[in-house]
Amino acid sequence: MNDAGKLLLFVVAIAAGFVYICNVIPQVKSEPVVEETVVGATPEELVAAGRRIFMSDRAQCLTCHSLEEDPKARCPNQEGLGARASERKPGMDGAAYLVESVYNPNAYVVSGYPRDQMQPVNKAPIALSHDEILAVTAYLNSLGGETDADFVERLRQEQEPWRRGLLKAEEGTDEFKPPIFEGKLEQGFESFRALGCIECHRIGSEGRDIGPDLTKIGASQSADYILDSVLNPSSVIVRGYKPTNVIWKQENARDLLGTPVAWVPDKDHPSTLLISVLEGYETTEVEVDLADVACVGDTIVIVKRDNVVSRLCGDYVSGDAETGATLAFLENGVWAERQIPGGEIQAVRQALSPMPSNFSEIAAPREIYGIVAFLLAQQGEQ
Amino acid sequence: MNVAREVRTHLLSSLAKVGVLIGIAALFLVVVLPRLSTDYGLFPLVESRTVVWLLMQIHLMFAAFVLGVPIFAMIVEIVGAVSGDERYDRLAKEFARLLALAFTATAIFGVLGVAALVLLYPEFMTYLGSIFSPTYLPYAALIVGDAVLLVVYYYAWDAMQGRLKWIHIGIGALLNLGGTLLMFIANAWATFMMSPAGVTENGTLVSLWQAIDNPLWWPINIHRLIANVAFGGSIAAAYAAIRFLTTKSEKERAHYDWMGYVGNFVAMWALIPLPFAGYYLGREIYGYSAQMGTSLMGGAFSWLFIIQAVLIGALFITANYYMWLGLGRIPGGERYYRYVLSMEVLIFLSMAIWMTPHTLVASLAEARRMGGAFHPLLGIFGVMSAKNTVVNLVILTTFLSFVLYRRANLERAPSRPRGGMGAPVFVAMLSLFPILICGVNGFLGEGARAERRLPVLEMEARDLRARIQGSYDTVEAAVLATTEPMGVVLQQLEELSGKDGEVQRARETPGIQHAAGYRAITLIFVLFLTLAVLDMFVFGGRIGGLLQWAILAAAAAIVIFFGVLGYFVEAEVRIGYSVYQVMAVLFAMMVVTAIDLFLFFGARSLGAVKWGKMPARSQYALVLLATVFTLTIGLMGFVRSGIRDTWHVYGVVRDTSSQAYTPTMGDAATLITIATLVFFGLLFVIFRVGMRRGEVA
Repeated sequence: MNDAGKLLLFVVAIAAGFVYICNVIPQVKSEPVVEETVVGATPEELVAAGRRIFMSDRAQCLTCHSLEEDPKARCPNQEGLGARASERKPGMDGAAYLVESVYNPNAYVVSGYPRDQMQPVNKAPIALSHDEILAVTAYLNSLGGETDADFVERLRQEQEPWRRGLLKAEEGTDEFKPPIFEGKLEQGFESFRALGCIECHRIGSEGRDIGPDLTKIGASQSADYILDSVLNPSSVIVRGYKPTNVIWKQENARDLLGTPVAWVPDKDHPSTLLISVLEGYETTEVEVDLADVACVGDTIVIVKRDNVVSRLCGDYVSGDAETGATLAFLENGVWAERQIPGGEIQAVRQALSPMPSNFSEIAAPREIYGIVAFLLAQQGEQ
Repeated sequence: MNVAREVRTHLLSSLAKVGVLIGIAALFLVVVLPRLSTDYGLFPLVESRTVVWLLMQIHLMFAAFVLGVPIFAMIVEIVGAVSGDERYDRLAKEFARLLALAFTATAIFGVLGVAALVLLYPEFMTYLGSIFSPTYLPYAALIVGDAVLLVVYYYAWDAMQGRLKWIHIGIGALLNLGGTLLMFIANAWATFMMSPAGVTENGTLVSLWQAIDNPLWWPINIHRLIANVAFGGSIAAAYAAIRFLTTKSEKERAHYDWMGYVGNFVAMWALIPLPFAGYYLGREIYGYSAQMGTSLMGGAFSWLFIIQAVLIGALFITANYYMWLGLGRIPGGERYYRYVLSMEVLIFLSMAIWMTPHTLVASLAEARRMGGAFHPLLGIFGVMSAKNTVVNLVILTTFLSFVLYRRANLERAPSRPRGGMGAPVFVAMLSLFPILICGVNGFLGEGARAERRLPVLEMEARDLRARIQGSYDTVEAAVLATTEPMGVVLQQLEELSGKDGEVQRARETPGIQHAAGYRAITLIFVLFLTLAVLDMFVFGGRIGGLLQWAILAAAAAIVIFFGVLGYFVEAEVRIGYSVYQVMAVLFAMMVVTAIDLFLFFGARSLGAVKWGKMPARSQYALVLLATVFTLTIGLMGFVRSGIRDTWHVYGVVRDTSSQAYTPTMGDAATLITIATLVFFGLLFVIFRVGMRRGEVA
């Protein structure tokens, strides 16, 4: 064989060796993306779907996480996560922690692991849908924890702001959250009465129905939520207890602020509003003919147009004074969403809870933490 | 006049060819593309992706050739002009002769690739056009400009000797500049697909410049530029090897032996910094998206990097082997044979470690026998600490081979003559670069500042905590005991939390863990550089030889020390150690070279190199180098494209076709090999035609 032939054979041999080696090593092939359809909503179905998503190439969870002890894994071992999720981050229950961890991974990074390793999974390139994330968090909790209907409901609650686009990753990482300390139950029992909580809230057969019933609060809410509600009553106002403003057409008539009791004939096409107005610890029901009102709703927006300042009220939908706010206005007996441009808005005043907001000024920590402990113990067994 | 006519004739023919090809590409982009309404086209029998992959891979191989070879030719021409050795000039021209045909082949495959993309991926190409269409015209203009320069560069070669030589070199430089700009534009398209920037979340263009200057643009620009030089050198060496083996003439054999040596020399000097450029690219990929970085090294592509290690290992081993064989044709080279065995063992062991996989896919029974997923011994070598260490040691060893080769037929003058200080001083000054990097990180950088701030912050946090705690053991106990209102206590707790946050942020400041290491290394570097300068200007080279060994030993010690230390620290800290290792190797190479240039100035030659007196296996080594280089280009192209996973444009435009999957390594290797063999086949034709046009003078 001449030299040219030998050279050709030599090159072919190198190429063949390359192909051979590449074929004898373990062969890994990824599959095209198939979005997991999260069928049904029972906890078992969610956990099963979540497991499939977690294991899939698309979600890439197992690229970094492990499901058993692996000292070389780039991200924490998820084995038994459900049992420790509620203790991982002070002031957060398991559902809140799991939801935050997948939407905003840098908000809390387990000690010894790098920041920025994980990206928000609702964003590209992973881009799981919110339903898929619900399933994954349900599955993660099932690793060492129990994913029941209540827990799924908690996941849904925690997911809601993310679904509505109200939260963005990295938000709130520097925000101060009061720590949860272990208060005394007996102290809480006393403080709940001494501070007047029992005047508005019901616990079992005791108390009144001005504020939400707290008989089972401990079964559905976390210490973090309760503490936040005591210190900042307006941060989350329970559905049905959100005050509504009534601004009359007639000038100089006093505005009304109260909790809607009924829209007549219905909420979509109301002509009359029955509103419960709080005076001291007493409530009075007032019937409002909506033909007489300029506007009605839980949010007041101060608007400046052509140097004229005016007030608008409607039900809050989204936005703020800077970017513009969208409100639902009652116009001619029908609700319609309208956006007010940011440039025209001077202030947006969302509904405030009628509950006093000065507990942090009048109560000592042991009283506040006592109330938290007392309310956490309210599991509806009385 | 004849030259002018020849240039004019070839210019017209070249412009006609380029015009036709650009016209066809424009036809597809401007006329055909807007008329296509489907998301994806279909190709008969073969998957659309395979068609585009093959065409683009071959196009890229030719592109690397036509970008790398002119750089190689220009370097060789400059060496010829400076040294006055006409052989270099002839060698440079010999390669320039091959460029015209290769240029045409590149353009043909480029146009075929564009046509395939337009017909098979119309929606994606429409999107890419919506971002990058303003770059299409400059790209076409650069192609025309390069075609003109290439014709002038080659056909005016002989006419532009003597006084016009440097103008001719200037034309070569312009040709390379045009080629490099062409590559940069194409890189912007490719890297935008990997790390899109300048667009909104749903892909609408906000800034064209940001889309071009995306996070991976410069890392790829640098990596490809260096790789092209290495590739050009290796192809030149392989061409020489083929001619060496097939010629019957002793004179020609001597010429091609020398040509192979020069080609390999350029290829190896470009190969040495390539792992550093690769490291920079990898780090930027990780910085852009940890998810992408993890897929790259630890996910679906982890086995690919084992194969890459095999290929790079083959490159280094073969290149060193070629140099060691080369000692045989140099009178005096036998003095250095004694080092070969230890260097060989070191390189082989290092490569074995580099090739060790991190995670062995083992059966359950195998895993039980091993005692886990990781082999008790080999598992230790599978991690980055070991791999970074050995790759740096291989680079140091290869550098040592170069130093020994350079010295092979030289014997230092008993007393170093005066003069010759320009080159050593210039190279020594280059070592200020690693000193500056380490010095800034060690004394002035963000990490160094945070390191100084941390004790103060920790003390403030301690004081605050003590103030809240009072006589209680814990903050919690103190808070639950106080009669102060909750609001006052919350303010204190918020202040404490803020201070703890500051402490935490300071602790997490990038580089804080490394400031001390950088300082130590800076001091070591400064010490060695000072000694080198003293040796040059005061001691007259008396400690130079010893100092060279000391610097190499210190660099190896730094590499090994941080490699071992990497096993005992967290991943975040470990990642930074590789920078120390790289800096130590770079510094050592620069200062040792500077000292060598100083020491061997005016050295006595032990005899001329016996060109042509090389065993045939040395030439097979050169062919192997070129083949492995080409396969590596294909392999790296696969992973660069593959880490986009199921996205055309990562995170912006999803690949919804049925081929949106990552193929197995076996399938990918088959395709890469087909592309390589087609490229070699066409290259062989170009070489044959090139040879016919004129034999070596």
